[in-house]
Amino acid sequence: MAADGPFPKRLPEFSRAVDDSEDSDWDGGEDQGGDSGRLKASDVRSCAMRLSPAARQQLAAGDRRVLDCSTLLVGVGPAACGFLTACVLGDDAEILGLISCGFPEAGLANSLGQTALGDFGCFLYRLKCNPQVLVCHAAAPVPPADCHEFVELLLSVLDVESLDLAVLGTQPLTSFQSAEPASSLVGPLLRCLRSSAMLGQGKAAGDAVQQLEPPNLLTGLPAQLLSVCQMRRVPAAAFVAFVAEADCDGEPHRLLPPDPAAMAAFRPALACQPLRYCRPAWPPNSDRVMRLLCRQPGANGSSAYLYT
Amino acid sequence: VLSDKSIGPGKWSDYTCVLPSVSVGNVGQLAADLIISSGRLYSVGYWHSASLTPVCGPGPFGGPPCTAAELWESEQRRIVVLQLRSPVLACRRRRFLDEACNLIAECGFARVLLLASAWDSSRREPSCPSLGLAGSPGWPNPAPEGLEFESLEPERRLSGVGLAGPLFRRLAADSRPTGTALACLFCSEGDNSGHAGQLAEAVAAILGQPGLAPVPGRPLPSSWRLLYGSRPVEGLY
Repeated sequence: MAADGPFPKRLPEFSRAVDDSEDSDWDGGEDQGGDSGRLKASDVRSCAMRLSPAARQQLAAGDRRVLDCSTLLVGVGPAACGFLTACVLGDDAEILGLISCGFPEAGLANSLGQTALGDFGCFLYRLKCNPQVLVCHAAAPVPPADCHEFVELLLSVLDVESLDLAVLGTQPLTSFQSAEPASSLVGPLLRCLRSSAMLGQGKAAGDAVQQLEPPNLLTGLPAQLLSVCQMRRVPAAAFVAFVAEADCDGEPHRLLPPDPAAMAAFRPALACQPLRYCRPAWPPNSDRVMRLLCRQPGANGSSAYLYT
Repeated sequence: VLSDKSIGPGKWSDYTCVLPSVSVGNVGQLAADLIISSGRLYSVGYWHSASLTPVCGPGPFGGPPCTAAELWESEQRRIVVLQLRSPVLACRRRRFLDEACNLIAECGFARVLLLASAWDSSRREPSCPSLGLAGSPGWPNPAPEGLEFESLEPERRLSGVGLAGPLFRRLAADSRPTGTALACLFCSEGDNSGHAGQLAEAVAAILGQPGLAPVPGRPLPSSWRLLYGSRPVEGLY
């Protein structure tokens, strides 16, 4: 880039203190109501959804333009997605669509054929053996700024009024707040938070998973999903596994299969609504699991590691 | 606003909206929790905003799960608390200001009381009171007699108040609500539960509602448990 004079071009500041006023020249990113002309294209973010021809046909055929779905399972992060793949999805699923985040223009999205781990698409599947169940894999990190739009897009093609929802996610074990010292915590820990609608309809059967204790909070996409379900009175449950930090989502370069121990942390959730009505398979067939999870080019059937 | 109860035009036309800001030590938000607890406010809805960091957790008062922004009401006291439990996304601060102003205008509040905290070092003099107050032309004297405070100029930039300053200036220039005030406590970060109580007492005095002041011995919100960490490891010393 050529400079206008002897000195290099000064870059705009990106970071601002929290107490800067709205009169500042730069407010740090997306601005829906301000001077968008001063924003860089890479700072304008959006999510985009691409549907399969079959899904678009189903939307067009119905009066309400929604997909047939009574149960939506959402996996957030590699461990949760691996668990849903192994125990629910299997290899008998149909791709209905995907959601991509972080594109500078709305409408852009990966193609449905880009299923490699490194493509960072969040796929939506339908179980062929149980077509009322849809599974969404958000294995790629969804930044907090994109969570709102992601959830709006996902729920826009579903009949929210007749939906049960479960979201599985992971958070670092070090973030779990307990009266006991952090050094004494033994992970993984599984906790559950349910919406009022699920509790109110008597759907919270059993105590298979301990309730999330205050002051612990859900963050990210699980938080956004459960918040929307709470607001819109959708029966929903969020299962969060507190695991070692390396097994949480948020690492775009992570192309290795998830840790089996982190995946197994979700096992008690199979006894809870709505997962138990999706006829999950436990224990999963180990060969099938490895075949499903090992989508790296060059990986052999028994190991996902390129270097052994 | 998504609500279980019908919120028609004019329902809150004679109400005061108490709105905390994410600021030093989260004092405004902690004070709002104390006001909700002491004043026995009840949940009436949620504010669904794309500008707030998504969070969800167990209800701090034992009720339904909490979200990033909630509305609590007391019909008897004619106040609504718009509690914010997460920070504004860094890339959406201006959008948040627009959304907040639109929400306040749509709800038709008569007055808005913003709660915030600023760095202790931004006080003019160490001997100045720890409470600062600013009022819009529609609410020029928010402080009752006997309340010690430092008068803040509306255009004064305070460090650590978050978006309370820009929001105050925006609302003060707007024709609705009728009056806007900013109550700001100067403090440092640490165990700010005492500062929250101090600010809640100031709010009770400003609104003329002694029942909003924290009641000694009343259980604290469950969200305050472990707020400042767990006990140290035995044998550390």
